[in-house]
Amino acid sequence: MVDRPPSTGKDFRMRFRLVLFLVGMLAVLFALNMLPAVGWGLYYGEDAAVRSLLWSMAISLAVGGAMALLFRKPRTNAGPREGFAVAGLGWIALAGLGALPFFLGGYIPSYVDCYFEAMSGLTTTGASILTSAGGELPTDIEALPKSILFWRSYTHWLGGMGIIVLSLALLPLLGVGGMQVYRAEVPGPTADKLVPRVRQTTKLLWGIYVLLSAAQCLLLWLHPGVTLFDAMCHTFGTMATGGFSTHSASVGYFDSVYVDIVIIVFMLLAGANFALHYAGLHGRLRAYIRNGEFMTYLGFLAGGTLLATVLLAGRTGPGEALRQAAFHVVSITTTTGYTTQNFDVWPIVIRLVLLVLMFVGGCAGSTGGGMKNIRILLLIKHAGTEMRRMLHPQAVIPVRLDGKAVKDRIIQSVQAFAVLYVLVFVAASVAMTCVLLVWPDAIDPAGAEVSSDTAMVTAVSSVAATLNNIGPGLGHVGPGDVRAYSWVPPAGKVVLILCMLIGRLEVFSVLLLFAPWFHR
Amino acid sequence: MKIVINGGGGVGETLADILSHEQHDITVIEKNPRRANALEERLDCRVLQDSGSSPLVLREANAGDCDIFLAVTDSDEVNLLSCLIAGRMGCPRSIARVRNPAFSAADSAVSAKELGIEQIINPDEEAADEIVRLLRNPGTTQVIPLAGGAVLAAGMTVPRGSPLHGRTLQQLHQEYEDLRYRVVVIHRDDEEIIPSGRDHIEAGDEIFVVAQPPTIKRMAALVGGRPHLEQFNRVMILGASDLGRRVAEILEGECSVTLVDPHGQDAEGASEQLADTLVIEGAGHDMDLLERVGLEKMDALVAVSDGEEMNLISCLYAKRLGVPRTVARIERPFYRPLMRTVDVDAAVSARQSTVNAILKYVRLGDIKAVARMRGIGAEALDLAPAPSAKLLDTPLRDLHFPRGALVGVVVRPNEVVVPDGDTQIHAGDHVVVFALQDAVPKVEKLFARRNHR
Repeated sequence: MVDRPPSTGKDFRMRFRLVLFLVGMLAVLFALNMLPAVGWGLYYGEDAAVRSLLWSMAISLAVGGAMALLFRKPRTNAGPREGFAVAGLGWIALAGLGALPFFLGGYIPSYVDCYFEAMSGLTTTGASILTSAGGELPTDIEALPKSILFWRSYTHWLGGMGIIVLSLALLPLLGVGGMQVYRAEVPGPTADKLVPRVRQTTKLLWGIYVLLSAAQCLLLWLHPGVTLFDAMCHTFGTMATGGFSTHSASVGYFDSVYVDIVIIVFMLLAGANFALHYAGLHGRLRAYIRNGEFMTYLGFLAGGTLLATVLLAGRTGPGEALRQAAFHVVSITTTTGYTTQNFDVWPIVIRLVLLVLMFVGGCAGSTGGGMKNIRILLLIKHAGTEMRRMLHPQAVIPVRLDGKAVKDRIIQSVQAFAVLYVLVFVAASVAMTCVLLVWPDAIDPAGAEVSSDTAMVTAVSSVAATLNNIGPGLGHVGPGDVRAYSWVPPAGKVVLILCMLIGRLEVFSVLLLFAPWFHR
Repeated sequence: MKIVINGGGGVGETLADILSHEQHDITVIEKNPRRANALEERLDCRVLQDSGSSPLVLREANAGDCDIFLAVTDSDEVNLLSCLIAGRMGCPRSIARVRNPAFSAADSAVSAKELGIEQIINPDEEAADEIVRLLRNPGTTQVIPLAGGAVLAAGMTVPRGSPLHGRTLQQLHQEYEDLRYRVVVIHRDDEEIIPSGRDHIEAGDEIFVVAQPPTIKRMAALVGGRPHLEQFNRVMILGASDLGRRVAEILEGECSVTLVDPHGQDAEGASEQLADTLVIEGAGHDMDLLERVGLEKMDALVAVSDGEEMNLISCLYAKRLGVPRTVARIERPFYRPLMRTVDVDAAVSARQSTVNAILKYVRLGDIKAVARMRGIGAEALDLAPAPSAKLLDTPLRDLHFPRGALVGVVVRPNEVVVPDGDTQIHAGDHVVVFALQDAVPKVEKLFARRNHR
């Protein structure tokens, strides 16, 4: 409305109706996305799984539909407050609904475990409570129906580019407020738009995402050892930088250099900024080289691979060492979490480097997690300029990136992010260590003594692996323990679930929900 | 359409707001970082925080690739320069806001066309035209010309004791059969109603009436409960700004004009320019002076100084002295609601007039809204029915027109009709539809426009 006096007062209060309406619409959209899994269930004749999926769909539709109808779209637009609330509450609610197919069919008996698995899927973490001991335990990966496994991998794909971003692309709901919601879900210090309108941008992003996914799926399927089902599930895991596999041995199951290479390449693409892919698809290939963040990202990957190759070469010979090193460095850095062998037995230096790379993560505007290369780059550059300022107290030295001065505002926000991220990491690590102290038998039910070093490594790396949305960690949450995360006590699972969410939504959106002034 | 707007001030923001709601791709260039941030936060558009007169920035904004370039910064020079650059880069259409009247005058040394600019909009001229329209139509709060001025849409406030109070529109039609008009919008408190025959009018409403100009005058008198409204012979203008001078220039031929300004220089300049106007150096709040000059004998007071508060207060004072018509220049939207309480008849905003003028040119050729009523969410849409459209050749009363929309004017090749229930729309007609925003898509469907977006 052109010339109306600006409304006052009201703007500072949260528009709960709007938030609930939008979360309801998200749930409806989410429910419809269970259909592909139903299709696979029918194809494989898995009646029980199909019933479980259909019930989950019905419940999600009912809950979402009721919310959407009850809080019919108010004539207000979303502001920053509503954007963060929709992102935070939306993800919490969707993980709850996404857990239903596992729970209703009884595939995973405990609801906390189901929720853990669904949150791990949506946040593209890939940490699993499913075991890989070969069918002895009730919740073994390969014992699950195919359609349930498909749903598990599909949650990755939905969460990778963002379910809210998807809903922005599909539903003309949010109008002007779209930018605020978009920003809450797209990773990186600034959420840049490819084109002026948010909705157009979200369509383009999903378009690129679908295109790359289709390409990878086709390439995987071309390999004789890979079925279409496996190709799709592993594409979801790769493009979303998730990490759920349909096999106990993860990607190691295929034991194929070709499959490894395809997955390495697409993990690398998924961890790069999709705005670059947009430029690349328009023929502007030089955009990649000119992008400081992308080059840093490549630098980390190349450096990590080189180091690991050298250290592993003595054991396996240089060729195999390069293959293993490249796969795991890319998998961990892009926060995917696929494995082809147990990297936990590698030399300690490599494991330490992997732990550091976990925090670096992907690029802004990618599907990867972690702190993001651009933030690391800006923090380092900023530290550099601070040192130069010490020499020339009166000099005006901006932080430059890609030839442009970066605004102070962005640097400040990156610093705040880094502080909060580290705080969350420390707090969660302490919490996990406490959990392991309170339930000392959890790690080894046989009652054997577990060294405190191992407990510590397990606790810290489990937080690093979930906060950065990677999946496998070290110690007893690493690829060396067939039980994966299933042994973690429920309290520990809750801590890790929060870590996954905080990592995926980049701290602010989640912490804001708990900030007292947010609700005023 | 891809639209680049240079300047994110009041005009730029309003334009970006309206046009982005109409699904255009908007890029705004704004120099002030705070404003740029605010725009990015509030609007669905791309914002470049930089100087819009720099070719590099214009290239980054893809000015060469856009369909229309709008330059609305505070600086004439920046606006003209950026239009020239955008034109050179290949932008087919550009519109510049230029306050210097030397550019828009008919005998200007260099025309907009020669500069390669499609249209130069002078905000003072637009606002002055609106003020004159308001003065020539006593009793109105807004006057919007439709169909090239053959028909007017005029806002009128219904006073207490008006004969219209409490009547339904149907009753009114029966009582005043000789008047051909249509009430298109009723603005009550903060609500807008697109009325049907059963809706009634209350004191305090602002109603929008569509009719031919003479009928508008009679309607205004009727609404006001008076036999006829006085013509104006004496007008006082407060403020010798460009706007004040411009109004005086138009009016000085038809009535006696007194122009008051506190600044000696401005007063002097105005007196040189305006031969038939009495120019007085004095302050708008100097009530002694105003009374001496004969404020109470004036038929209208036009307060267009730069101080908006002063404008409101001068109008209030004039009303107390019994001046029948007051028009104030008010730029800030949040002063508008005050207008009714303090009894100012009409408000004019140069910013809003500029926006309306620019929108008219942006939409030229694109069949879309022709006007927006100030302070109201309803808009007037100019639509041409497709040859196969369902609504053709059916009396309006039998059409199931969507709620929140009605036909205000039917424009035929050789006549302009204010419709009633029997009117039919034929192929080749244009129709001005008044609609609330929610109803616009349904209306468009009814007209089944084919290749327009």
